[in-house]
Amino acid sequence: MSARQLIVKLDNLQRGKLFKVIVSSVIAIVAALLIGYALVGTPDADPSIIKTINELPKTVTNFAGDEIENPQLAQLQQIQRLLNNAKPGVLLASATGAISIMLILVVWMGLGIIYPLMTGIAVGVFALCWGTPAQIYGSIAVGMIILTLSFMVLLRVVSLALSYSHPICAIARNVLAEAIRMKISLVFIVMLFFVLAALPMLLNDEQSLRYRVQNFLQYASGFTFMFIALLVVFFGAATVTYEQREKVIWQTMTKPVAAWHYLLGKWLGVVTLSAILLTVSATGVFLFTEYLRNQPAVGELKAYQPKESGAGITEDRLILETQVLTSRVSLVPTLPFSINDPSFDAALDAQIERERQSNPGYTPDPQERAALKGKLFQDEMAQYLSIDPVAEKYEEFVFDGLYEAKRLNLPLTLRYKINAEGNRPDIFYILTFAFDDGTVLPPRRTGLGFSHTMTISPEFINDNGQIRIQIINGQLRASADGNFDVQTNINTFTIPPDGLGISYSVGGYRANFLRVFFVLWVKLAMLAMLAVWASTFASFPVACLMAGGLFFIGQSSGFVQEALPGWGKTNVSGEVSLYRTIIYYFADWISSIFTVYNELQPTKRLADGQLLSWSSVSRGIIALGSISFLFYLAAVYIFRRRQLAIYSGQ
Amino acid sequence: MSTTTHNPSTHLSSSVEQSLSDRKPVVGCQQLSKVFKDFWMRDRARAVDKLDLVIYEHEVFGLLGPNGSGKSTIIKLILGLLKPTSGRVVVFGKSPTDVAMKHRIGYLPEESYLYPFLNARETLDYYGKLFGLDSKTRHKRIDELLEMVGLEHAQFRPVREYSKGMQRRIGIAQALINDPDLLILDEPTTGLDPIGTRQVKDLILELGRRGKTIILSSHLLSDVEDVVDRMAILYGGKIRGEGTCENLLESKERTLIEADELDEQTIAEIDEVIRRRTGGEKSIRHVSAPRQRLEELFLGVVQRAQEDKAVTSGAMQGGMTAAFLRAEEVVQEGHDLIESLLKDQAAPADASATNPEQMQGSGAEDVGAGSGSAEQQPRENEQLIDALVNNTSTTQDGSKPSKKDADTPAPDVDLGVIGSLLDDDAEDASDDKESKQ
Repeated sequence: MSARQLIVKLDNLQRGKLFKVIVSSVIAIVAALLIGYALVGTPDADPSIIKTINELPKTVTNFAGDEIENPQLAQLQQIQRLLNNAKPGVLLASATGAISIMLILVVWMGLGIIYPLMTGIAVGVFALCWGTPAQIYGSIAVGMIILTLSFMVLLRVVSLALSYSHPICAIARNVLAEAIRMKISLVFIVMLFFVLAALPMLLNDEQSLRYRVQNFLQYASGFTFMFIALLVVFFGAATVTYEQREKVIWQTMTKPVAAWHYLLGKWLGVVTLSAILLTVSATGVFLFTEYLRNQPAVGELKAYQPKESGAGITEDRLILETQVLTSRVSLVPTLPFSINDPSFDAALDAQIERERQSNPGYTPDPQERAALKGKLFQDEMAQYLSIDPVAEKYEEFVFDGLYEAKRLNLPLTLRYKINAEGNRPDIFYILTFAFDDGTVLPPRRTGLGFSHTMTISPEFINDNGQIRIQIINGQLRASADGNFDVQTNINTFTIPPDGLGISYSVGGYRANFLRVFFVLWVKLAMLAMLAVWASTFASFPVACLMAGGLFFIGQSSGFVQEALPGWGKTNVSGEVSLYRTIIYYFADWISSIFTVYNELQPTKRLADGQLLSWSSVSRGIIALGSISFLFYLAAVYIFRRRQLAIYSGQ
Repeated sequence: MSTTTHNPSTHLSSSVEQSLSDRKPVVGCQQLSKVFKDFWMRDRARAVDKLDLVIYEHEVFGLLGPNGSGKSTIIKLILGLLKPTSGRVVVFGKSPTDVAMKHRIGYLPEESYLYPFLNARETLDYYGKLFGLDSKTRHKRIDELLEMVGLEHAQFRPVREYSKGMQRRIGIAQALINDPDLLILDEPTTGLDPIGTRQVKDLILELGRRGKTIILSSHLLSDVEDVVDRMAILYGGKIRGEGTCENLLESKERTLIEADELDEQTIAEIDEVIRRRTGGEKSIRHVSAPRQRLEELFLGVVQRAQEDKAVTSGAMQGGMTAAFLRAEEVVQEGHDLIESLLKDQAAPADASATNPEQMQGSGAEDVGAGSGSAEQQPRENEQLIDALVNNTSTTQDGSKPSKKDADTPAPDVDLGVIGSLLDDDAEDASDDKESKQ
C-alpha cells in the first residue's frame, strides 16, 4: 500500500461517525480524569498559616490602651483565602479543558489528519531547537502553530454556524473566507500570533513575579486589542470598498439582498472574525498568565511555598494575588473642597484685584479666569496632600462608598506613597495611621517615592460607609503630661495625586478577565461598524482614515477632554481663532460621544487588577451599542441612496 | 414586444396586436433618461435619452448598439444599479430596487466580477444562498451548472486562477442558479471561445423555448441575430431601429437559391430562364461554392482533440444544459420552431462539426416536453413555414406567440402599456412563481 493510499484510507476512517464517537469519548474521559485530578488532587495552602491564625490573639492593645482587632489577623485570614482560591491545579484543569474541546472539534470536523500532522511538526520543531541558541525561535514557532490551529478550528466552527441559507449569513461567511485568503487581513493575523507567541520571551525573569504578570497582562491584552482593532479598520473598510471598486457588488446587489442585509452581513463577518481572534488570543493570554502564576515568586521555593517556613506568603506573592490577579474596587479620598466652592471664586477675585494694583487695565477673559481658578485649585490640592511636621503634623483623608465592603466584611488594602527630600533611597519616614474610632496602628517605617500597601480591617468603616484616616507625619509618644505627643519626621512629605487609595477585592481575576475581553470585543464591534459605515460613501484609504481617526479619538477621549480647555480657542496672541474654535468644538463633541468608550479602560483595569463590574459592562454595551446602531442606520440610508454602478474611488 | 414612438416606420399588424394582448409586460421604461454628471453636477454624458421600451414575457430581446450607445446603462437602470435622472423603470410591476422581485432575475454583467478568493463551487454556493435556496437544491443545481459550463474538473480552483473565458462561464452559471424568469445577459459571449459562444447561444435558445424572458446586450451582431426574437438598435441613448430580425434584415431585392453542386451549363440555363421571364431585367448575380464555416471547422478540431483525450487545464466542452433549467414545461410552439431551426442548421453540416452533447442539450433528445417525432417533423416545418409566410402566430393554443415570430414589429408604446405593467402587482408575480414551481 502506497503512502497516498494509506492517507486516503486514514482520511476515510477519520471521517466515519463511529471513529468520531469513539475518539471523542476517549478524549472526554481522559480530560475528565485529568481535570478531576487537577482540582481535587492538588493540596490546599500551607497548613502552617491556619496554625498561625489559630495561635494569634484576636485583639491587641493600642497606644491609647484600647483593645483593637489584631491587624495581623486580618492580613493572615486574607492570605489563607488567597491560597485556598489559587490552587495551582486550576492551570492544568483549564488547559486540559480548552485542549479537549479543541480536539473534539477537530475530530468532528474531519480534520483528524491535518491537525495531528501540524502538531507533529510543532513538536518536531521544538525538539530540534531544544537546548540550542535557536530555542527561543522554536518556542515562538510552536506558539504560532498552536494559535493558528486554534484559530482554524474556531473559524471552521463559526463558518459551519453561518452556513444557514440566508443573505446575511452568506455574506458574513464570505467575509470570513476573505479574511483568511486575502493578504490584507492575513498579514494582521500572522503578526498578532507572532507577537503573542513572542511576548513571553520578552519577559525579564529577574523581575518580581507580580511585575512579570502585570507586564504580560498589560502588553498581551493591549497588543491583542490594537492588532485586532487595526485589522478591523483595514479589513472592514476593504471588504466593502473593494467590492464596489471591483464591481463584484453588482452581482450581489442584483440578487434579493437588501442594503441592510448586505451591511449587516459584512459587519457580522468582521465582528465574528474579531471574536474568533480575541477568543484565541484571550485563551492564550489566560493560560500563560496561569502558567506564570504558578512560577515561584520572589522568596519562594516553588509556587506558593515561601523559602522561610511559617512565613505564610511572600510579599511578591501577596501583591500579585491582592493587586494584580484580582478584581478590586479602588477608591481615592474624597476631597473636602470643590473647584466650584465660593471660596475659590473669592480667592480668584482677590488675586485679580492684586494684579490690578500693578496693572489697572487687567481684565481676564472667561478662559483666563478658568485657567487661574484651576491653578488655585491645584495649589490647594498640593497643600492638602502635603503634611508638614510643624504646623499640621497630620491630615485627615476620607474614603466614601464602602458600604459593600462593610456589608461583606471584606478586608481593605490601603495603598500609599510619599515623596520627600528628593526621594533618597537611604531615607525612611515614620508614618502613623489613626482612625476615627480612636484606633492607632503601629508606626510604619516608610521608604520614599514608591507605593506601600497594608491590609486594614473593614471594622474601621463607619455607619456612613466611610473610612476616615489620619496620616500622621511621625509617631505618637506619651508626653510628660500624660497625653500623647507626635514625634515628627524632619521634613514635610507630600502624597502625589495618585498616591493614596483604598481597594478591596470583590472576586478573582478570572471573571474580570472574561468581562475585560468581552468589553474589548464590544469596542471592536463598534469599530467594525464605523469602518463599514465609512465604506458606504468613501474609498478605501478615506474610509480607513475616518474609521481609524474616530477610533483614536475614542481611545484618547479622556485625554482630549482634559487637554481641550488648556488648548483653548485663542491663538498665541490671545485672539479667538476660527480654526481653533472649529477644532475645539469638533474635538469636544466627538470625544464626549466616546466618553463611555474611554471610561471602560478594560486593558488598564485588567493589568491593575481593578474590577470591571457587570454594571459598567452593561452601561458600555448600551452606550456603544447605541452608537453602533446609529452608525448602522446612517450606513443603510447612505447605501440605499448610492448608485452602485458609479464608483469614484478607483 | 416593444416599440418606440421614435420609429415611425414601425407598423402593427392585427395578428401581432392580438398576440401582444395575451402577454404580460416584464420590463417597462417610460421616458427614461440617465445623465451622468461631473463633480460640479454639470451634465457630462447623456447615456439614455427619453427612452420608451417594453419587453414582454417569453421573448428574447436584443439590445444592439456601438460602444457607449447606452446598452449597459439601460440594463443597470433595469437592475437598480443606477437611478434614472428622469422617467421610470418597472420590472415585474415593481421598482428596480424592490428586493423580493430580484428572486426572479438572473444577471450576467459585461465582465465577470467574481470573488477571487472563492473557487467555482463556493462562488455558486454563495450566490445560491443569497437566493435562500436550501442545501439540497443548491448542491444539485451547482453540480448541474458546473457540468453545463464545463468547469466540473476545475471547481476547486480559486477563480482568480481562471482564464477570462472560464470566469465568464462561472458568471453565466451564477446568473442561472435561481432559475430566473428574467435573464439579463450583458455581452454574454465576450471572452468565450467558439465552443462557449455556441453553447451560450444554444442556452439562450433553450431558455427562450422554456418561456424565459431574456434581455441580451451585445455588439456582436451575429450572436444577436442567431437568437433574439426582437431587437432594438441604440445610438446616443435612443432607439434608432427596432423590430424582429426578419423584419429588419429582410432584403426584398434579392433571392438566394441553394442547391446541390451544379455545372456551368445548368447555371447558364437557369440564368436564361430568369432573363426570359423578367424580360432581361433580372439575372443571376453571383455563383459560388459555399465554404465550410470557420466555427464548424473549429468545433470539429476541438472535438477530435477531446476524443484523443488531449490534456487541458482550461474549460472543458460543456455538457447538457442543467437539468433544472430543462425540467419545466417548455413553450410548445417555440420548442417546435427551435427544433426545426436546429435541425435545418445541423443537417447539411459535417457530423463532426456539431457536438452531439450540445445537440442533445439544445433539443435533439429533449423530447420530454413535446417535441415531434421523426414522422411529425415535416408537418411541423410546414406549419412553421405557413406561419412565416402568412405572417401569423404559430400559437397552437392561443396563449403565447412563437419564437422567431415573423414580421412582428412592435406596437406604439403608450401609457396603457406602462399602466398595465404598473398594475402587474405582486400577486401576479407570485402567481407566476407558483405556477412555475
